Amino acid sequence: MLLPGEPAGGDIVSFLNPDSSFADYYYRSSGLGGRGWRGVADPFADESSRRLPTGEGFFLFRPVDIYADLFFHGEVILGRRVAPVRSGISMPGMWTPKDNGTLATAGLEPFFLVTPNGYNDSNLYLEMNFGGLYGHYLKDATNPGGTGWRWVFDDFLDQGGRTFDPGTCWLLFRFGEEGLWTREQPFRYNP
Amino acid sequence: MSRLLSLLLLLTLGPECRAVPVSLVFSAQSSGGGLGDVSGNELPPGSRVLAGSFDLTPAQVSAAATDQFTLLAAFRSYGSAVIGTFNGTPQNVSGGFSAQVTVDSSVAGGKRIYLWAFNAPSPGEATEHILVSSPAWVMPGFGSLTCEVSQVAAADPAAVFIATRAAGVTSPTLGGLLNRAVPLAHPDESDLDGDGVPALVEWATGSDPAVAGPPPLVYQNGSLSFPRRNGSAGSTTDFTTATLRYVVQTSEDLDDWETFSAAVVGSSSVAPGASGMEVLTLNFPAGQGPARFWRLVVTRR
Repeated sequence: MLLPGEPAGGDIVSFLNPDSSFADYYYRSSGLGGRGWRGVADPFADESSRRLPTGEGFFLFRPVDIYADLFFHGEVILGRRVAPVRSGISMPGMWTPKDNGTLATAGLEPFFLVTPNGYNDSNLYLEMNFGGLYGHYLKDATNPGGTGWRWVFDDFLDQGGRTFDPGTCWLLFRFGEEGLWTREQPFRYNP
Repeated sequence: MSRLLSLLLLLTLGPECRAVPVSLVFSAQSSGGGLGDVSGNELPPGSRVLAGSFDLTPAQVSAAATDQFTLLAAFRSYGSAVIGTFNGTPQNVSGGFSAQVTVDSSVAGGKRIYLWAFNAPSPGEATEHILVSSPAWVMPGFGSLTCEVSQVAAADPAAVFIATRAAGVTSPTLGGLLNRAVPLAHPDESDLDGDGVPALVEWATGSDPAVAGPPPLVYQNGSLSFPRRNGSAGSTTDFTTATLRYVVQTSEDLDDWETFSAAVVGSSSVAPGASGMEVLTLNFPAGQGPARFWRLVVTRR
């Protein structure tokens, strides 16, 4: 059962936009703008006919600490924005689930395009403990800043020691041409 | 990407930080998020609300609670909205609003976000303000961030809460306690020291708005000079800095004023008694009639 309310206190359902930003929705229970599905930026506009495209996923963010059983079909990604269902993530082509580790030790490099430019590479988004998803990429020597794992907005700061932990969210985007990774299914759970 | 373009980017931008669009939703639409004035009335439709970050720590922001000069000089705006308008549509209600903007994560990623409301359509016209920020309002590098006024816990030491809440003073539009504005110590157009110089002009010329002093525009030895905050030179009629525009105007009758055009002929890096200031000196044209008056006009950019 989703938690209705207002943006500050209700469950937020987030659809991914084509530009990789989120469109956030919630079920407004009463008050300003009335009752029904609303976008977080507009308490008045009815969004009940909003449709999740086939093959697309969504995020669920519960801003308050209230326990609930949530049942979903399809692929589910672990994280605070998502209902945790099972620990452990299996990377495509790898048998061992990744429960924890660092970017430098995860063995992710074979799955990444080395960076030719800012618009045709793979970005791995990790949920940080101070909130939000932050993009990382595997940098080559084309531009100044060295090589290895970097923040998308800092080419110089080595992020190889950046940890990823169970319960936090991962998301992989590959910009440009479709490759090994697709946006709709960045990860698969260990069956 | 060609080698030529790559070289150009390296020369102009340095590191190749990539832009990722992030949605920033900022609002007062939930119970406890209503915005009001000092008197306890909801802010009227059209009052300005800014969303952005500061080049200051949260403690420094709180310390400058009623000093809009210091705050505006360090503020980076990512979006703007007005009370009564929700996602771009006027709804003719007071005390609440909502808006959504797309922000470049390479600029704003990791920044602490603040919501800043004024009791007027622009900061320069305001006499009161509300400035709040939750410690959770950190701009992500991906996805979206929702900043709703009701999320800010006034008692949280990590929050910034420049406003007041009082038992029994509620928001008719949103319900819950009303977040009431605090008065600015020296609104831009005020002159609390009574020296005839508006507070914005005093701040822009390095003097204290609380202490009466001489006018900043000085005629001496065939030239006009005035102090300004360090910045670019602008044009011969518009001596702009990053956040302020200085224009010298002239009149023969104190009624009709026209912009005085002159190149800067000299500047000193620091005005006496004020850091971060410089004194601009302009040529004074000879043979301009029997009498002529001058004034310095300062506006926010």
